[in-house]
Amino acid sequence: MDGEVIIDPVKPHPTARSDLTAVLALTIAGLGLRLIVTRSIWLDEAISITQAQLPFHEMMARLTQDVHPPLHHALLWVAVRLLGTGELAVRIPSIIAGTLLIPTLYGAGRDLYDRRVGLVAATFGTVAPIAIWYSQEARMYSMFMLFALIAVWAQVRVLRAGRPGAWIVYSIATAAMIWTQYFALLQVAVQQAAFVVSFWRQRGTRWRLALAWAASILAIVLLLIPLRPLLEAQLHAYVNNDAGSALPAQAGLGATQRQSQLSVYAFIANTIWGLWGYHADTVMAQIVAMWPLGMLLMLVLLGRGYSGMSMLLLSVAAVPALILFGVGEVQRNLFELRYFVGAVPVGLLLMARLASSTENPGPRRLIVVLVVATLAVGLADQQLNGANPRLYDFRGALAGVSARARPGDVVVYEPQFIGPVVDYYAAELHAQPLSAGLPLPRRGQRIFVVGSFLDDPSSAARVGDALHQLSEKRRPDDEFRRPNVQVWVFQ
Amino acid sequence: MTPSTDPRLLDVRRESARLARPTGTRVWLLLIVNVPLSIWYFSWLLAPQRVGNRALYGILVVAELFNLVQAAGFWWTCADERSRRGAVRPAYLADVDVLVPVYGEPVDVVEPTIAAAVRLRGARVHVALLDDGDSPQMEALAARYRATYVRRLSRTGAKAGNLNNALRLTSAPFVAVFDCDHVPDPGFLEATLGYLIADSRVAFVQTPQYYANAIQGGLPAAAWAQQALFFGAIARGKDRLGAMFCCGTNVLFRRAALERVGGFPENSLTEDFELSIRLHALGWRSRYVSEVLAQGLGPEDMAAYVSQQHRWARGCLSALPAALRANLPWRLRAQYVLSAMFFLSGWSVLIYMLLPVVRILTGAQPLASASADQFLLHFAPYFTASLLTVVLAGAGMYTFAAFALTAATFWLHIHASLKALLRRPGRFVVTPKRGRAGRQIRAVLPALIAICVLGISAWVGLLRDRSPATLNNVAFAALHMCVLLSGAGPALRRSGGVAGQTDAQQRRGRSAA
Repeated sequence: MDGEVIIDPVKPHPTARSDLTAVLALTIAGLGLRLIVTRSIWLDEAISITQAQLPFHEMMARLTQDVHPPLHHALLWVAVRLLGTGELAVRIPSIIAGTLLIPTLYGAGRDLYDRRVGLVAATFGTVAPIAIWYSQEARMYSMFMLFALIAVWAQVRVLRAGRPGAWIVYSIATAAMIWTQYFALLQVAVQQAAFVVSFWRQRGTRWRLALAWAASILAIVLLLIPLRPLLEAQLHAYVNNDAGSALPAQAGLGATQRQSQLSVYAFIANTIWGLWGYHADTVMAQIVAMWPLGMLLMLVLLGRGYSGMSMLLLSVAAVPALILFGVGEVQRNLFELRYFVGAVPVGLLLMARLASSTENPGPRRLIVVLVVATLAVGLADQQLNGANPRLYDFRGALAGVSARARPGDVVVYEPQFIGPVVDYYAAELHAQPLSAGLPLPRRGQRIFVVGSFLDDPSSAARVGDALHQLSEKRRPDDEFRRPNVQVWVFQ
Repeated sequence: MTPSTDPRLLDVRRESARLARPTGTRVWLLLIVNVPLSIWYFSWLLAPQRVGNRALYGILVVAELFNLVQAAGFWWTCADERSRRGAVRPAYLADVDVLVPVYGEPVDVVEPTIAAAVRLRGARVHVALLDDGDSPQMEALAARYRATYVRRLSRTGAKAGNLNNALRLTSAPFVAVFDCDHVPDPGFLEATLGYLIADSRVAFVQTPQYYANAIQGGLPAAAWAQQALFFGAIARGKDRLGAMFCCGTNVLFRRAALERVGGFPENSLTEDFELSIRLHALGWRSRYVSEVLAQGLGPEDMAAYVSQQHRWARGCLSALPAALRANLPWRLRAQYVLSAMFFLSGWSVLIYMLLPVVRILTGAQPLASASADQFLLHFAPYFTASLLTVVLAGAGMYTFAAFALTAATFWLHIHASLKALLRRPGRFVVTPKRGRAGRQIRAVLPALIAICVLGISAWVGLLRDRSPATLNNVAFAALHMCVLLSGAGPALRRSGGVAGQTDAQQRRGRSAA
């Protein structure tokens, strides 16, 4: 037997235990990535935090002037009561949802396709830039992603076997999705259309499906009834106050839109954001210009087969985005990744399926490694590159102000809507919006001008005018900038 | 090739069912989308303000209009279909001559065909092995299966001449023709003969030309994927339009019809195509049964594929004047023109490859006053819907490998069309039935040159600047390079042909059975 190498051709199949270990490791790694390199509190977060500090009934009353359903606010209210208003504390609900997305991606991938897809999907979910971005934001988008994935997963189980448990999960996830984000209704519509198609195709058991389907709709409606008064009030406020129009436009589209109008490049940019995260305008313009590679992808998919399930996932990922793109032609601010972010985990699942579909293990591993590498690069650039137009370092800027400010100094800020962030980070300072006017000169008093959103011509003009006035009467003392925030100090 | 490894003897019911899957309704529904999207794109493209560099714009428009005509023809053909499957029982037991032309092919390739031919059910079968190779082994093979052995003294007219010679020596009212590598199913005549007996105006019944060696993957699989699109939705659509043409093998003729047109045309590289034009011009009808009733061998290597495609391109393009002159109803004439025009599509591939190279190297571009996003906005929906139509019409059988193979052999169409234009005589070359070992660089040399040119242009572009406009053209160059490289791949790999077929492939073949 000398020199003979004996190879056991039968390798033991990886067990559920090894999968569990892998998913646990990925989940811990994902949690770590969601906890390190956090960013400053964003405007919308600051508004939510302010609302969450109110008594519950007052918060709910305030929400009637908002445009979002209350589930995340309610959880945030609890988090604030239990943990306080620190950056990490207010983001706990999002971090939990974003971390749970990883095992959910594994479960969905394994159940809908196979364990290989499950593991690859969980790996993608661990480093997916947008999943991490919204896990680090005290808003509802991370929960939206989680519920969207659970709803699709449960629907596929329903269509496969029609078990009551799957119907219950589907109904609860759907209701939770709507309680989290009204735009989830687009996904719900796509999923209901899938039930119609399934009903039409089924022969023998179609009436059984119809009964369970009707019961599910009834359950969803019942779960949504408590939402009705708030929804009516919000709708009334939205119509009468033109709510939302004062919000800043979607950042990061500068290089991909023409004369502030939606272009198809904006759609591609949102798709790239969804998978590879937010990046600098110049980088986005370069990536978007390489759209012919998308044609190549479409050609490569020829003949690879398509299951009804993959078609459902693709529809859930694409149709809401396409509808909002169409709506965006009329109401520009409605086409934004946040409003169809439920498509992201479904997109990751499809990407995992695509990356795992090559039969040859060598190329398959290479593809998966390459995709993970691109996601990791996207993540690093999104989190660390100050040129990311979505990075607003209010924390850094206002910490700089706090460090320099003395009693009696005044902070003026522009635009007005960053007030809640200024309050969050520099509550001890005397701050006022620039629109309230510049303070009268007082001996020894310094004025800090905090400017942000300076790509907006009106804000830039107001800040420029204020700096001109101040420079006529005062001596410029200091100036510093953080990503998307600039501070001028006058003596 | 032994019986245990011969892929032609495997069960093909699954593939047959897939090929025959009706797709007309889906294509018809997509037509509702395709037509407005095409109008939208072309009304944008043809607006006067789009003209950039006049010459480049001109050739871009020609290429796009050519593709539109091809696409529209495809939609028209596939939007409705006639699906004939299952046996149509003939009224009486007829006599059928089964002709198997041979010219130097190996005995083990021919033997399963003869063995299957003598076992055909549903008629009194008279098998004739028509040997232009003057081979004693073939004579022995014919004797072994009690088939008639026919040897010609003068070998004029290639395959057509061989068949015409056999027609003079035989007398049955129906004539089946099988290429020597196509093993007929025992039920072939049961599924086809009934159509000829039921309608005396029907000249021939065609069935699919299935490549059983597609299970090996690689080039045969890509070649079959191309065939599958034709023998699926396109052939069913042509059948509905009464325009299905004869494909030279796996076909059953009415002798009277053949005699009426003077037999198979001997001066054509695609005798089947020209024969069909003549038959249709005289008012004869054709039928198509979308069921795999014979299993053959597709080209095993790139040289064989190039040889086959070049012959088809030369033959069909040379037959174009005949199709235009023939006394045909407009629908049939249009169908023949569309089929022949497919072999001009290499020109459009060349144009699409040239545009990014010219843009990167000279800065000249076909479109002016149009940002790339406007082009994409109008082009992407048209492109996506067209591609989706191919996916649905092909029942998912048309693959990227098939597309890439067509693109990588673009030069064949150019070469064949120039030869046809100059009326240079062609020679009938039998497609080799065995793959050769080793790389076949010559067969894909033009594609490799194109890859080099595109690669150098992309490199130059990236060195010059990284502006979105340059990156857009670099991405186009990369797209073409990937497609060409994928299509040329089979010629660049060291394959062993059938002789080198791996055990794994054989096992896969058996398991598929």
